Amino acid sequence: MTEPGHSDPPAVEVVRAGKRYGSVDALLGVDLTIARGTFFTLLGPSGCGKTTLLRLVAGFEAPSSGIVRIGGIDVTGRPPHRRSVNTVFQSYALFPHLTVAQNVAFGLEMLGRADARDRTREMLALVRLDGFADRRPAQLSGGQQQRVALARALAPSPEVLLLDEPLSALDLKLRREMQRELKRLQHETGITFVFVTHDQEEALTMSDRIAVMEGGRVLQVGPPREIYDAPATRFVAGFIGESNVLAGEVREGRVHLPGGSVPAPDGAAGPVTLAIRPERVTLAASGAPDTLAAVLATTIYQGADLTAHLRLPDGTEIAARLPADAAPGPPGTPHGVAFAPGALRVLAE
Amino acid sequence: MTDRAAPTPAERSGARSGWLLSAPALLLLAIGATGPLLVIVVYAFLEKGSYSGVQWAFSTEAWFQVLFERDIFDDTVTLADAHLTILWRSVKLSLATTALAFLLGLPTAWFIATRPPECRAVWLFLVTIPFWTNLLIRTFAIMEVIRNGGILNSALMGLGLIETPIQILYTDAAVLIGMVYVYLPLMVLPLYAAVERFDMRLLEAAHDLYASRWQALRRVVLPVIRPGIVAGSILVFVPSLGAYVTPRLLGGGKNMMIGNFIELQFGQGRNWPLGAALSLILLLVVLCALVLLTRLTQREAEE
Repeated sequence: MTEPGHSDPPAVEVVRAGKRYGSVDALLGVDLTIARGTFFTLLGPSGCGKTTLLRLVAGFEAPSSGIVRIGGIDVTGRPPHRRSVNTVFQSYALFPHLTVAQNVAFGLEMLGRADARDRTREMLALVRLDGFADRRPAQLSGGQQQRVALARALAPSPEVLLLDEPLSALDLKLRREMQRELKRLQHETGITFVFVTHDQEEALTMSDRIAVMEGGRVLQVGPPREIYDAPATRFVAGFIGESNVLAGEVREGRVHLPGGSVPAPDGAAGPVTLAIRPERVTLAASGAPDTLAAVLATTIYQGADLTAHLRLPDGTEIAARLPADAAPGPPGTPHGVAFAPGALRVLAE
Repeated sequence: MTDRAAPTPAERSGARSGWLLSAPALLLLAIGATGPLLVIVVYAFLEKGSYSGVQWAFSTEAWFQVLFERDIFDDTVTLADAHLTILWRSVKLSLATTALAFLLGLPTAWFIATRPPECRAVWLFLVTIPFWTNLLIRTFAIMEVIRNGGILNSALMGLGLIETPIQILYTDAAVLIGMVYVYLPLMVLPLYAAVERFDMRLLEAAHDLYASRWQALRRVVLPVIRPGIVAGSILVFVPSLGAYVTPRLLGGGKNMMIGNFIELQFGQGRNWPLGAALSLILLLVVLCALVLLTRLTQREAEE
């Protein structure tokens, strides 16, 4: 992907956007900038405000406060049909009385595009539904309906494509297939995709950037690797993948934890909350330097790997992902718990 | 061969008991619907009696009279344009009633269908309240509203908007107002059923795809709720065409509709065969309208 130039306004800018429903705050002053041509994911549990944020960008709802810009233009008060944004709905919302081709052509016709016919054919080819032009949505499978919804939303070449949990109704195999398909479409069209999901794995595999949301706020924005390796808060650490969260205290460059002390991460001081991924935890001989003293509690065999749960002296459990052929011994075996260098992260509360 | 085997005894007795069970309904249908219709068909092909009733002699005179008038003195034949005028007025007023009921009914149905579920029953009940009131009383109530010294004219004069009362009563407009009022619930209910099932996300999808409100209504909402529109239109158009009480009271004597004209033949006109023939023509018009409307919806569904 090419880096957008400085003169290029971002595809979407949300500035201090708030949304209140009655006495409930769905969004609390959200700031977000989405660069042109990226696959951007809004990730969070249900009720975190991600769909509300998407609807503000689409124009289905007006923000209670704040500004929404698309392509640098303030569209806060504009109705959806006057924004160059199209949506793929969770339920697809295909027009039941129209054929597949008529569905795809709908937006083009509303815009009065002369090339509606050719463009429709092109779009159906893009989503590999060439032979289905004259079918009705009810005659299609879920995956095919999904493709029609995609073709319909992409046909008018919007500046931004919004996708509201579009894969949640599909079974696992089809979902994997559609994930690849979406990546391909985003790559081929170069359109900015804003994708809403609660599935962290989906977010990690598909996105260029992820915004993790919770309770109407954006907690962290960054590329998937950064979100995974360096979660900013306890919530992000827990929501994305598995994390061991430990409380400790930094003194003289070492962080003191139950069962011992290890070198402290840069910039840490005083009492801290730390996170580490199970796959960055290794086992060493009991009493080895820079390890924590622990005893094995349980091991869980998972085919490709093995998860060992170790108990620290204060009762805190710490999970370590080990190779499948590792033999940590029976429960009660003492071990030294070691952390991969640089893997320990300080969390903001 | 085997999949079309003769019915087993159990199946046969099942079929027989099925007939037995539906016998009362079939009997009622035969006596209540087919019987009177047969009488009308037979009467339409008989000679009229001297004072009333029929003479048992085959005649197509009634059908001739539907379209033509024979001068009593010199037997010259002229087109019975009065009959055609009445039929045309009936069709015209019924179409206008249907159209007006639709224009008023759709926003009403939309409003009710978009209320919270627990409020909808109350609104629907309010719409159907006039149904629980006698038709005559409702019609007289309308007369009270629109007559020259009535509520509407008094109010308009009181406001200084008009100086002399507007003559509404005993005009086609009065008949139209009355019929729209009487048949509106028959339009609202099927429309409500259709709008309630309408997926509002389709409306968002339409707006999202650059449709204005008007375009979304025309291109998405109306086609999707079309079965409800057709059902409501049939339910309003058919009884409007045969309406009798409303045009009689609100239209006065001179603005007859076909229903009144038929009644006249069986009453003062003492021409039962003509009345029977006119009834059959009315039935034919209704059937044509039904076939046309059903065709329209079916084609849409098959496409």
